[in-house]
Amino acid sequence: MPPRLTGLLLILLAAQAFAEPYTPTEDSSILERLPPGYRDNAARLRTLRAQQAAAPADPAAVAALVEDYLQQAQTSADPRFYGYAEAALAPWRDAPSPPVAILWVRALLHQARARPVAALADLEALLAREPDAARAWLLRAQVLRLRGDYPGALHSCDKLLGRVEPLLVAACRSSVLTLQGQAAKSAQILEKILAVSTQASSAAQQFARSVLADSAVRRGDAAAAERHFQAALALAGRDSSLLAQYADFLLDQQQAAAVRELLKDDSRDDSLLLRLALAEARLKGAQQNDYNTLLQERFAAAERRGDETHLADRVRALLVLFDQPQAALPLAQRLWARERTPESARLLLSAAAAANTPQAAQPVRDWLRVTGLEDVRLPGLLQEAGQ
Amino acid sequence: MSIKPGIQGLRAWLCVVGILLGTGPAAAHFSFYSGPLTTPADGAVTAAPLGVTQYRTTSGDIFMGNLDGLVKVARRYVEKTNEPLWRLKLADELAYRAQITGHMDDTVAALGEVRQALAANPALPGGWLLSARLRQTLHDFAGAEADLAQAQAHGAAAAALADLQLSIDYALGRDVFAALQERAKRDPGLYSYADLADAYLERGDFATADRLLTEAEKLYTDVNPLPLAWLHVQHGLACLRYGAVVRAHAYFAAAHERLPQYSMAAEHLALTKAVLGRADEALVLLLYAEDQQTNNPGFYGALAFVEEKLGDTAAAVAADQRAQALYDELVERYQEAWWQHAAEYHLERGDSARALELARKNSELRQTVASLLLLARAELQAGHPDAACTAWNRTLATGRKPPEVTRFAADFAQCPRA
Repeated sequence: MPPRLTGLLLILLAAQAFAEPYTPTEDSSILERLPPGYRDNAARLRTLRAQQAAAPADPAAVAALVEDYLQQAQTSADPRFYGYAEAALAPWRDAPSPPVAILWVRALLHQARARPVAALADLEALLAREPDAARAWLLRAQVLRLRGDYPGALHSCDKLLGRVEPLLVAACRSSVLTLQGQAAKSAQILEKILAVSTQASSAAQQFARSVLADSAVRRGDAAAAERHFQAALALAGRDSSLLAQYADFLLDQQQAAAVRELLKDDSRDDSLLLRLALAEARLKGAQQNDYNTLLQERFAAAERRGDETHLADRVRALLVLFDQPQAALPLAQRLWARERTPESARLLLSAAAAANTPQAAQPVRDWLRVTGLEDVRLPGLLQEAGQ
Repeated sequence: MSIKPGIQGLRAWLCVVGILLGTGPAAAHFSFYSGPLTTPADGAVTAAPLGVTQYRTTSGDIFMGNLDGLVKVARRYVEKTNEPLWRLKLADELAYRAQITGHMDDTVAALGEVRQALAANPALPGGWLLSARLRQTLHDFAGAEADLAQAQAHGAAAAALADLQLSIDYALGRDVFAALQERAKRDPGLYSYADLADAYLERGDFATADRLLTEAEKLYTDVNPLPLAWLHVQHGLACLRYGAVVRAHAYFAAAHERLPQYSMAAEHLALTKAVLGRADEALVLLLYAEDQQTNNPGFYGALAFVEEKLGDTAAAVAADQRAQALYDELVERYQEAWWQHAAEYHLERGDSARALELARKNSELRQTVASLLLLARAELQAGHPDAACTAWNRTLATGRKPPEVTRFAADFAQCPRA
């Protein structure tokens, strides 16, 4: 089998996992490429599953298992872990007043599955009972930032002071301020804090670097963005959000081949598959149609499940890969109602322009006036979207 | 919203205590506190600040949003109607906001509005009272007393007059201890207890002050976050003056959590964090607040201290130079309002001539134990031992014994007793 087809076969296998059983004919057949650290993760999972099975009503055991699933979903870019997490949490799904440990993982899961309102409700309930729960404040800050509630997000960031390492507080604050017309200043402060935070954890450093990279991208400083992305990627294992962020940057920099190389083993995650497909399309590669077909199948399946986790990716695919602006616009509007981010703004502007519906871009214009968001990519899109 | 500054005033800037606790020119260049990190007070007293979940007040964001809104509305009405009462309303809100943000411009603008209102209608007792309060804030004590006389002539309430007179008397170093005791007994409340606590601190009685400040918390029944945040800062300062840095940090943190926009809380919290070896946390606090504090020399003094703790000498020097420039500017513009703070700053930096010049002016203006001690230290640093001893004896003659007097007593051990 030509090597470049191996990846495709694996993608197809993954997609058809629940359709038709595959029986390998040779011992050397590759069934699946396992992510780095798989053995350790699998051993840990086995332990957690056993603990949960031994005490199915123990919220701590359930929470530990769910949290591990969610962590693995993020680091392995394998969305099946979200499904496992949903299943493990099923007994507590609609519990009105579950234990704090369950509230925490349920909020995490809600946010990971793009259900911010539910996530916030669980976080509020958690914080009412445990006002010192730093990680809940941090997640709340992130959720509110995505919702465009910047004062609320900053308030949550402030709650972290003295409760977590200072670099995390700084990254939290800068991640909000950078969206409020203070991109350069907030990056400058964060760089300064990063420089003095010699004892900071790699997680905090990675978070700070990703905030700095994002800020640099929006300010049009490609060299700084590249530097921060590289530093962030070097700090920890593969993180699907960071990879998607970096892939977008590379695509903006016309480096599709680099994206193909970066993500060649990460097609299980819909977001990363989209970036791979976008790169393949730019390169007019042989796998373009296969990726597109796979994406369509994934999005159709998500729609059937009512899963809107990858709404932004669907809008982008409809606009860029499938040339369906009329279908993209209502989804972009739905995304905008859920998330006020530079990305959702760009998608709504693009969809409004492609669907020749300039009035649909008005909410973004209003938002830009209020927030003062700086993004070098926006003026062109605003012009395309028309008045 | 009304102004309730309390005896100590709400603008007891960062440097008042911070620099008093320094060790003079031999100390580190950007000195804040070099005493012990803990004392028996850290462990012996178990009282802790009232947390936001134990007593809820309006969130800082909402509170500041409302205050900004009130300023805007009042300003609009002033522009539209030129009505003196709206000017007083605008002045009141501006002055209140200044207490939180530390923005001197708001205080000065407030006084300007009051004076315009009184020029248009001198028969406004509330206007004279407000003017007196603002002038006191700016250390124009003669002007404040003249305003009080006007307020009385125009029928101001006796209680309000007495309250303000007490406040001015205290700020001038007059003995009002009995009056403060009587007021706290007659009208127990957050401010009356806090003011009495400060008087006990001046007498070197930390335990009673500590108890009164703790009691003051319990007497608060409003949802306005500022009075409690202010009280926490006062309690933190009291702890700090007696070396209880860990407890001071807890009170400053409580104040900051209750009202993050309160500049005094943020500055003191940052400084105590730095003293406690958490300079990186302090830097986070200060750098993100810088945009709101560009005219505050105390802020830059704190930043210089923190930067130096972190080993960034260039940044520390830059912040210190900014602080110096701001002190010079403020002394130039507002004179007596800044003499004491600027003198303390220059004394700490070892600029003896400038410190002495300002300390002398300040001690002529008011003869509090703090201003006399400052003068004694400035004279000593400038190489005038006789004048230093004279000032030191005047300090002792006040009969007050705040911790700073004990701290610096060794410097004046050779002075002949008066």
